[in-house]
Amino acid sequence: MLSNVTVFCFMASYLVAFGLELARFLRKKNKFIRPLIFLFSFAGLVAQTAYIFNQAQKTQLPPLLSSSHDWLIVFSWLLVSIFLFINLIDEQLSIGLFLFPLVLVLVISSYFVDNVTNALVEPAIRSWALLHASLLVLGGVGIGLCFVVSAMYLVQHRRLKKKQNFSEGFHLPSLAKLSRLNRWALMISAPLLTVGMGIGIGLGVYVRKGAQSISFYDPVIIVYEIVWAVMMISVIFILRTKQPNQKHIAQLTIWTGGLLLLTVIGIQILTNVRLLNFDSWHSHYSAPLMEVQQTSAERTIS
Amino acid sequence: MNLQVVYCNHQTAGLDVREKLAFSSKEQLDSAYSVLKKSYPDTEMVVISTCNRVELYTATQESESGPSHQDLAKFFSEFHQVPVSDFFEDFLERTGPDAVRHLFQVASSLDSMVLGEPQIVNQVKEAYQRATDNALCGPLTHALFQQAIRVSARVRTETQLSEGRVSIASVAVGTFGKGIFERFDNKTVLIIGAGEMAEETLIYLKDEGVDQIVVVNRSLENAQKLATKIGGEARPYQDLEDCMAKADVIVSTTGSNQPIVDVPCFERVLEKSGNKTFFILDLGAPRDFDSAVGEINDNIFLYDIDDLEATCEKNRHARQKEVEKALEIIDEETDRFMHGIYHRATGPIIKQLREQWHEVREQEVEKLFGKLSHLDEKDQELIERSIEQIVNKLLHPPLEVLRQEAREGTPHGLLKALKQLFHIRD
Repeated sequence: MLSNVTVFCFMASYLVAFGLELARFLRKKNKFIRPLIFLFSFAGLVAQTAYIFNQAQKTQLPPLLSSSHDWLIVFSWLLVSIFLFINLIDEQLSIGLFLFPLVLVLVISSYFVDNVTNALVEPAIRSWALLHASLLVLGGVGIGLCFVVSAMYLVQHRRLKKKQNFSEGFHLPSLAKLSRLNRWALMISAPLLTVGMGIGIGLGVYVRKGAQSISFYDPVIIVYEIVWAVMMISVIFILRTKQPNQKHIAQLTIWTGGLLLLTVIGIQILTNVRLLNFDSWHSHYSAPLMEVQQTSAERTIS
Repeated sequence: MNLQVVYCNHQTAGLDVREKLAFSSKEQLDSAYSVLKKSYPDTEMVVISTCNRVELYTATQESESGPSHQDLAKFFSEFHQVPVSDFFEDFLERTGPDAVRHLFQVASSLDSMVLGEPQIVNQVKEAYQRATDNALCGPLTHALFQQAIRVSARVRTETQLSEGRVSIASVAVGTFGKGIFERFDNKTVLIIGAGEMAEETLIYLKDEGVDQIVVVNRSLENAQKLATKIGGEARPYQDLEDCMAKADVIVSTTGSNQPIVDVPCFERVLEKSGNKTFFILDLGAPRDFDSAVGEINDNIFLYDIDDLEATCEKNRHARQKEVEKALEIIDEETDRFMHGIYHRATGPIIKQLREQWHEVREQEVEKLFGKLSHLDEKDQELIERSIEQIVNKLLHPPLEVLRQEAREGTPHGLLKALKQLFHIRD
C-alpha cells in the first residue's frame, strides 16, 4: 500500500496539522487538538518516509543524491521529525504554527522541481557527494530552525511589549531561551554549511579533472556562495556582539535565514522548471543515469 | 441608620484615575480624616486606599445627616486638587445592603484583581484600625468591619478561592516574567519599598529560586528589617540608580505621590548597565515608574497593576464555581448583618411600645378586678388572657408593618410616626 504514496498524501496531512495549529492559536484550549496535531504529523511523516524509501529504491541512489526534488523532500522530512521530537519533549510548545509553513513551502516547492535523477553522481565520489548534500541539508535545517525560532522570538517580544496574553492553548518559550536556541542553531549550522560548501568545491575540482565539465560560474553555485557569505557575515556579527539587542538579532536572522531558504528553494525551482536555462551541476537534466554510469565505468577501465 | 460607600476601583477606573484619588501615605490619610471629621462630625467613616481601590465608607444614625455622593466627590476633588469631572463617572456609590455586600466582597478578595489574594483582608483591617485611631468609627462601622473580617475568614475556609496564583507578583511573574527570563535563580532582584506588598513579592520570588535580593527604601531601617527577614541586602536610597543597573528584575512598591524613576534617570541606569534586559514590575499607585521608561528600548519590559488585568480576568473565569460559592456566603452574611442592623434600629421602639401597652393592660385589669371582686381565680385568669390577646392583636399590624419595612432598610419615617403617635421617647 505504501508503494503508492504520493507527495499529496503527506502534504495533505501536514496541511491539516497546520490548520489544527492555527485553531489552537485562535481558539481556546481543547484537549483533542494536540493529539490530533501529533497524529496527523506522524501519519504524514510515515507516508513521507515511505515515499523517500520508494524514491531511493527507484533510483538506486540515496535520497539526498537522487534529485533536487528528493533533496527538498528530505529537508522537509527532517523538519517534521524535529517537530515530533519537540512535541514529545514539550507538549505545550506551539512550534508547529511556525514550522509547518516552512515544511509546506518545501513540500509544495518539490512539485515544481524536476524529479530527474542526478546524472553527475558517479559511484567514485558518491560518499563525498552524500556528505556534501547531507551537510548542506543539515545546515539548511539549522537555518530553517533559526528562522522559526527568530519568528517565535519576535511574536513573544511583541506580546510582552504590548502586555498581552496568548490564547490558552498557545505557548512560546521565554525570550532568553529563544535567543539561546537561535545562537546555538546558528553556531551549529554555519560550520555545517561551510564544510558542506567546501566539499562541494572540492567535488567540483575533482569532476572538472574527469570527463564531466562543470563550471564554477554556474549561477546556482554563485548564488549559494553569495548567500553563504551574507550569512557568515551575519553570524560573525551576531556571535561577536557583546550584549546584543536580541530583537535586532532575531530580525537579522529572519532576513538572512529567509534569504538563504528563499534562494536555495527558489534557485532549484527556477533552474529545474527551466526559467533559467543553463546547464547546472545542481539541475542536470540531460544525461540519463545509465549513460553516466557507463561513462564512469569507461573512465575506471581506462 | 444609613450606610453608604463611594468608590473607584480597578474595575471601574483606570490607574490614571485611581492614582489621582489615592491616599498614598498615612499622613495624607490622617489629614483627609481631619477634613472629613470637621465637615461631617456625626458621620462614621472608614477609607480603604490600596493600589486597586479607593473607597470611603460612611454610616450615620439619621439618614439626613450624612454626606451625599456629590458631597464626597467634592471632598475628593478639593483634597486631591482634581476636577470632579475627571473622575465622577468612575466614582460609584452604593447604599444600604449593597454597600455592605460590597465591603464583604472586597474583604473576601472577590473584588480584587487577583482573586483569592490574602493581602486585602489585612488592608481592610489596617484601614479600620486607622479610622478607629482617628476616632471616626462608631457602632455601625465597628459592626460592619468586624463582620467583614469574619466573612472574609469564612469565605477563605469554605471555598477554594485562595488556591493557585493568588498574588499580584505570581500573576506578573507567571504571565510576563517567565516569558522574558528562562529562570530566576541567577537573577538579581531589586525591591524598591519595604511594605507588605514588597514582602509578599519577595516571598514569591524566593519560591521561584531568586537568591540575590537587594532592598532599597527611603527608610534604611525598614529596608534592613525586610532584607534580614527575607535574606537580602539593604541599600540606602541614594544608591537606587546603581542598584537598578545591577538588577535584572525590579519591583517597585513605594507609596510615593510622584514617579520616582523617569526617563532621564533610567537612561543614566542604562549607561551603567549596558544593553541588558530589565523586567520591571511597578506595583505602586500612584505609579513609581514613568510609563515612558518602558519605551526607551526593546529590552525594557515595564508592567503596572493595570497590565495584569486580563490575566486576572482569565484566573477569575477559571474559578467561577468558587466565586459563586463565595457569593452565596456573602449574600447570606449580608442578609444576616442587615437583619441585625435593622433589628438594632427597630428593636428599642418595638420593646417600648409593647411595654407601654402591657403596662396599660395591667393597670386596667387591676382596676377591673377591684370592681369585680366576686370573680374566682379561674375567671380572672380567663379575662386577663383575653385582654392580653386583644392587646397583642392590636399591636400585631403596626409591628408587622414595621418589620416588613425594616427588611428594605431602616424605616426612618415609620419609626418617627410611631414615636409621635404613641409618645415613645429615645
